[in-house]
Amino acid sequence: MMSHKTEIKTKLNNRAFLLKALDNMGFTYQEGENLHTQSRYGVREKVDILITGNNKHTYSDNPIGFKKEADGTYSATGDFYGLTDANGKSVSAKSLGINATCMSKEAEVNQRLGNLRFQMDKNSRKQEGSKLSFTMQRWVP
Amino acid sequence: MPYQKVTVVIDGATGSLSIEGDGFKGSECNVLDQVEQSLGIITKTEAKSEKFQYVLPDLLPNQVG
Repeated sequence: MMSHKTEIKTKLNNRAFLLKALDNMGFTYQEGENLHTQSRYGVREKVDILITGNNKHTYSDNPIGFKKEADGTYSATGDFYGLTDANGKSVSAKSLGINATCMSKEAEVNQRLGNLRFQMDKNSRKQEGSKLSFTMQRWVP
Repeated sequence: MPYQKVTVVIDGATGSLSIEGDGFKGSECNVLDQVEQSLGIITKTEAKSEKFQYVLPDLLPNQVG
């Protein structure tokens, strides 16, 4: 039996925005005290957020999740072998970490600039590599 | 009514966030705090004529007629 465990540390430390990012990426998940990843290849690890997936076939064993580190940040961890996202695109620890970081920060920017009455110009939103950019605009009375 | 626009760039690999536009430019970890302080929160405004925005003085007896 071969292990495919991969782990990537992110700078995310806000659980609410991380969960919002997972929602936006189309993942379902569980939160709890006693959750463990469990892959076909024997990887088992305690996590704080267990991704239960968007595809019953590939995520049936709950192979990946996020665990909270001692410094308060979250790491994506688990066995990513053969996993795909809601659009059928391959998911790796790195891509999950990058997308979760982008979408988590995006959710935070939307909320905080939204409080200043800024609205996102959805046509301006584009992602190139690891970088996500968009514009926010408002009219000041 | 002035229009304001800012461009937001997030690097998912490094976790960095930069915001630029309308006289503001920032890329430090507290950039959102800086934006809030720089651009500010718009408080409620009322669209009513200027003459109704002030308390009118009481009329003196000889003005009543």
